[in-house]
Amino acid sequence: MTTLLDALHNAASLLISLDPDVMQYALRSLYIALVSTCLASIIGVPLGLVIAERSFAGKRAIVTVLNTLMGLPTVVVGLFVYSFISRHGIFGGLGWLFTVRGIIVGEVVLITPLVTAVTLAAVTRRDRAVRRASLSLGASETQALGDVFLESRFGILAAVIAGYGRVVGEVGVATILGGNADGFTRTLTTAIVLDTEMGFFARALALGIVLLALSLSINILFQFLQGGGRGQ
Amino acid sequence: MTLLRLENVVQRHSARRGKGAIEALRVHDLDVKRGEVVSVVGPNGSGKSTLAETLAFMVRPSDGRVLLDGADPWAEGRALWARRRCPILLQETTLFSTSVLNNAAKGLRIRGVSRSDALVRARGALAQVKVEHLAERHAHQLSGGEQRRVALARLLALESDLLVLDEPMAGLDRESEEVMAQLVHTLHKDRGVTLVMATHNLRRAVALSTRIVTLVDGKLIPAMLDNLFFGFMRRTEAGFLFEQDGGWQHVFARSDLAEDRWEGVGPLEGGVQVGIPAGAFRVEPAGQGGSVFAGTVEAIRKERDAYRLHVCVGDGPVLRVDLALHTWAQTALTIGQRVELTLRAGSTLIMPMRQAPARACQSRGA
Amino acid sequence: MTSTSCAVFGLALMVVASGALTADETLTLATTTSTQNSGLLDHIHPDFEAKTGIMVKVIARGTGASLQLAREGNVDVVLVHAPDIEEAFVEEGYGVERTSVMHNDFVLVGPPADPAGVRGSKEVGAALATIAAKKAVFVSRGDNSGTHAKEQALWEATDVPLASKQHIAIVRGEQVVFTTLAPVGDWYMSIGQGMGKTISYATERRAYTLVDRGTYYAFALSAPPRTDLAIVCEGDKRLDNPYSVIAVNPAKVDGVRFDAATRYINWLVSEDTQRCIGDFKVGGKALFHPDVLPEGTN
Repeated sequence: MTTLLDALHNAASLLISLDPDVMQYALRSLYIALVSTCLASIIGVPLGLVIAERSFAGKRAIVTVLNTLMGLPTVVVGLFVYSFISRHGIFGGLGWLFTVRGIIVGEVVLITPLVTAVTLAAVTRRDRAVRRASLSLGASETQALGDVFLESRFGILAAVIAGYGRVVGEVGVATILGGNADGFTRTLTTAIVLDTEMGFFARALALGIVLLALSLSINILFQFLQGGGRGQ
Repeated sequence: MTLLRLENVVQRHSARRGKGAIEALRVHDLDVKRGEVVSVVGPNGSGKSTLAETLAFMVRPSDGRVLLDGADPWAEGRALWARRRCPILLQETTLFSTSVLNNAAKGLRIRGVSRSDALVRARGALAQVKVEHLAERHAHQLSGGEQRRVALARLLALESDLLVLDEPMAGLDRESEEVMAQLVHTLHKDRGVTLVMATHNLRRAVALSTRIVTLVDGKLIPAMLDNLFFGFMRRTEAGFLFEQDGGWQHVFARSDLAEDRWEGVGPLEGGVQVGIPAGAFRVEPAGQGGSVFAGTVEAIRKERDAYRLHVCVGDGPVLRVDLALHTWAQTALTIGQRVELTLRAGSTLIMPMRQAPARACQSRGA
Repeated sequence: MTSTSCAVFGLALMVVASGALTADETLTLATTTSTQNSGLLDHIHPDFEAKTGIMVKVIARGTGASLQLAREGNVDVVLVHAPDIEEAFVEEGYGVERTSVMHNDFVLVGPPADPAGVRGSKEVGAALATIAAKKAVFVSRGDNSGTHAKEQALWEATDVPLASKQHIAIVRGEQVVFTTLAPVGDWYMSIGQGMGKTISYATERRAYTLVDRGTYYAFALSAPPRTDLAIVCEGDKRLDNPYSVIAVNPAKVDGVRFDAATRYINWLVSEDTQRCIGDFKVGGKALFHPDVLPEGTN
């Protein structure tokens, strides 16, 4: 049976030889993860900031909704988006099902609640005090909002990192919306599932190690970006 | 000339969780004139911060008007302009996550001052509060007192002619407190800055202010009698704040206005009483030399920041004497000990003879 | 922070630009996981792409799911191996016609120790009945696939007591009833997985299972072998496994690439391709037999 050593051996040879399939899957996974994280952050971070700033009646309800959305199984999210971009769905004409774009749409839907919720938590901690301090110095509401953002920047970056982490190892959405088509929508994660299905356990584990390496290197990069700040 | 004015201002906190709306502030009228140093004193929770923030245009009044230089910024949609004219040192210190120097420059940068100019002025402000040596340090590494001084420097850099300070000296180490007090003095005397200070440190308020107003339960009040906590006197008015039965009571006398809430205090001619703030005494064991007040220590009670003695003088009254903690440590007094009390010059207050509370005062009337 | 903002904008542009990176024409094919896993398509598709410039995008699901994708218009052509279901599909109007492509067969496999004593059976019905009687562990795909359909049909032909489960699905507003049959008893395990996982599972649990020959060879003859189960019954006519290709009907379903699908089908049954299919071997054994070329030509 498969040993971890087999897997490590496998992974090493795949990487050293720059196996074209593995390269294809890895680049695709990386691309999907980065783009999805980017888009989800563009939506989620300002949303989290705005929710934190305003106090309004439905605020607790919103937090509850966000937490619920975060707990959805990825397959459910995938099916939900599927119903929209499938050929007979509302956006079927776009032809995004079984394409990388379709996967990205699904991943963005998946992680935006997460990014929003973590941003909200990061900002809420300090936002009231920072906002008051800014206003007391004569800042406009907009300037104060910007200051809140700056003060919370490391927490916000943590939200982005959380989003990235969620996407990079994700299978449910990628499978349902991508279809795992080789050369088109096969990612590291869907390839791992396929290899497991086909009984190539060592190779699946090897791909897993490649995925781990990919995730680690990006996270190190994020840490580097975050590293400039003292603990808050 | 009036710089700031509150007219019929009411501040309500919105209702939450079944409780009704709470009135945090109700001020019929309050003027702050140019060059004044006005201290707002009162117990915790009396609304001092609310008043300070209302004056600084941080919060819109639920009712009434706040006028700056005769204009009504809230009504005219110029709250931002007003806020910039009245920088406020908030009760809580929040420094930004950057260097001390950048913090000090923040107010200027908000107003669009160039970075280089702002940093120069900021450095000057830091020097005024004696923390210029900390300029390059990260703000959050400083001690509490140092952070508060930086917060003050942030305001000083703006070189505004009006400042509002909310508890500037509360909870500070001795050195920081000294620096702050010195600065308030300098701003007033040398630069004619108009200052409004909310504080519960009465001694400082007396020392630094040109005028003191008293706030209890959100209302400006006057009054006082036995167990005097605080009082003030002017040509035409006198007001006193005193503790009685665990609560706050007040008496106010004014010779030219009808006031519907004050208790029987007549015009200032006639009988008077002497009121002495509890902290104005010096206590020494008997035998040190001639003093009007020689008596026996009846009770000793340790309060939060002072020791409170009850000294029975002659045949009575019982005078309340507060001793600072470090003073107490130097003079070990015991119950039953004979002591002599001396007063600090200028600390005595003369007040109208007390009338029975139930009796309404004779036509106060204009 | 500015370098991060630059990165952000750069990536945003990538998304927009990626829309422009469409390949040449693409044909989307739905097929079964066993077909995909055999490796046959990876072997023959490059030829199609070279000849026509059309890229084939292969989506592998179970037979049922593949046909469902076709009904929704998400694929252009299907390659499946479940004749009854295929006929219904064409009758409903979703498929244009069935074209036979190739065939292989199913085999019944079991542990080398053969606890049910069915090795060498010539009749699959009898073998299954014995397995049921001896309560030897049997693993079923249970996943609405062609293999699963075949397995159910085989059980139905025996006297083994079966439980029936009905599942009603709404397809395009219409009700479709799916009935599942399964033998009663703890020895029967329905795991709801693809062929590969099912073989692995059966290997691990020392159980019997039904598997298409292609996947079986792929697993048994790989280096190292991924299963040690042995064939206990083969050759029975009831174990035949014919594969057909069906183009999705453009009259009934919008947005499908019918022309490309037709070219694909023509290529699939062309002499060269059929020969290629016959030549495709794993471990020295041919996995599929082409339908169009006469037998014995390879």
